[in-house]
Amino acid sequence: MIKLHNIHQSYGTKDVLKNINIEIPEGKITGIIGPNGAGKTTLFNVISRVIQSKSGHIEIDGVDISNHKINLSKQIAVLKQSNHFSLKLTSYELICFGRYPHSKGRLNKEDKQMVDKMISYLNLEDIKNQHIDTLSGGQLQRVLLAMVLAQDTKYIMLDEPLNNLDMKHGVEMMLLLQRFVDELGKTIVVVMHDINIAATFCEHIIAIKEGEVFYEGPAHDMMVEHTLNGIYDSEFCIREVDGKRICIYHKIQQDLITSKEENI
Amino acid sequence: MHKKIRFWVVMSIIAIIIYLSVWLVSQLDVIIFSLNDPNRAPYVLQMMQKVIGRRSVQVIALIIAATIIAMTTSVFQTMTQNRIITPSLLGFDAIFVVTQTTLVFFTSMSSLVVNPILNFLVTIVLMIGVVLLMYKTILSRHKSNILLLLLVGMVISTLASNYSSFLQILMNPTEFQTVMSLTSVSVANIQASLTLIVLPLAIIVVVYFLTRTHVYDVIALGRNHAMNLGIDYHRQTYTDLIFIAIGVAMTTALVGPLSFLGLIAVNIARELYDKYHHKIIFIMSSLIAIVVLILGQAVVELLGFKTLVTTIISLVGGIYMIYLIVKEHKV
Repeated sequence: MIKLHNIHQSYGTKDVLKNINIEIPEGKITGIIGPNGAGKTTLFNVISRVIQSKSGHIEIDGVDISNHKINLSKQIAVLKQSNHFSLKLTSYELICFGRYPHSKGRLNKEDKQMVDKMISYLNLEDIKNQHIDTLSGGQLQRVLLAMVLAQDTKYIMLDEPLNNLDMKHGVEMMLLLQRFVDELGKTIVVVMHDINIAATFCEHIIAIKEGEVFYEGPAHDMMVEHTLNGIYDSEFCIREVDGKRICIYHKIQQDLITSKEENI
Repeated sequence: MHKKIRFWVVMSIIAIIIYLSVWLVSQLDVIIFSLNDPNRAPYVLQMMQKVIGRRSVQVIALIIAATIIAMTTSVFQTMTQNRIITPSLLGFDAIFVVTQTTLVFFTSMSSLVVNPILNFLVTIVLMIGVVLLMYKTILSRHKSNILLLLLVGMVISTLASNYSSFLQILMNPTEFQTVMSLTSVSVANIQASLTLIVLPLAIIVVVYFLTRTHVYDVIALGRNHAMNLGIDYHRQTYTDLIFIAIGVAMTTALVGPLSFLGLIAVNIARELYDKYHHKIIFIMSSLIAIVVLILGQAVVELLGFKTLVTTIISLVGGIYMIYLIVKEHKV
């Protein structure tokens, strides 16, 4: 379980995260959603410790990890958005890098077994020896997932994993993540934009608005007009399809626009 | 791959042998004549031993310079994720020239200029001092923003070279000559005593880089991946930069500014090697740098010292590098 206590972060005089207190449940996919500039990525970076929060502390399984010196690479694996490599690498070699926290550069038998297991788990045998700059976006995303899995951590954090993927590959990716949770017992945190995908595939949702937690709880309960309208300042229309709630958004909240016009 | 490494090892041995024997070409007549004279033969042999001994020291200095320049350049390129950057962009060459010019201008021909060891110590302390000052002020405030560091480095080197050309204009011709000979790459500047001081330091720097090759492999994946895989990125960059500063300052003070050599050697190594392992890139680029530098020096000597070794390096190495890039990418 990852717990955040009173996390506060600011850039200059602008507060990006205000007093965040959340818990990320184990064995579930947790989706972080919210409008642009709400602080999703900052929150992600604070949890994955790419940046350090100005105040507050984070606990992982009861251990305070605010100290920057602790090496967490065997507990949390992080995959960010932009993944451009200037190296001459094959998929296999890239996946092997996932074992670095365990092997420190020298792969033993166990490491190689783990890599092979993940390659067959994600059906990557065909592209195993292909250079990564010849892979398509979807293939590269799968190879990177294999690398993250090979790292063998309890927690996996993904920053907008569906970027640049079409809907087929997007759904495939989310089904894969569900499989990781069900079969491998991982705890996954994803930053997302697509509310419908988040509601369909994530069990737990954290919605951020203007640096504060607007909603925290099960995905199903988030999908009500009142809540979504509040998060995005838009007018949502919610329907039920096959027992799942789906939202449609095609209007900006009228009263907001008129009030802005009056201000001008 | 082993074949290629073996090829470059053989090449560097050939280069060293050529360098050790190239002086015979111009002196051949005198030596043969003297050896035929029984009265002169023992003295000539003694003299030859002396020359070869002195040249061996020069070869060691050149090997140190080539290896360290190749390694620091490849680490620096990995850190910046950029294949056309060399540590000289941090302003080392310019600081070196400034130090020499200032010493000659203000202290004239004092012991600081004439005594090579004193000169070396002053130069190296100043160079490392300036770079560490830069790190402290820039890196501590903007965590591991190397590009900003490069920008400041470029401004400093422009400033420094303007300053030194200003002083050089004010100098009298003799002082100007001294500055020129101090700041151009030349084996004439290499002192045996200096080489012995530098050697242990150089070994420490080389061992430091060689024991961390797998860390550089991970850093080459980019900052985010390196941090994810458990590398303390800020700390690692900081220590690497300090070792680079020590290495480059040392070689520049020992042989002179040689930045283009690193660029050529590392890029040729990266083109010839089809994988990413830094261990091999280190070895390959060092060997290539040794071959280019020592052969270049031998050629300069054959031409009767009418040109500088940097010119030869740029000419031959540059053409070969362009050829490799064009061939690789089929432009």
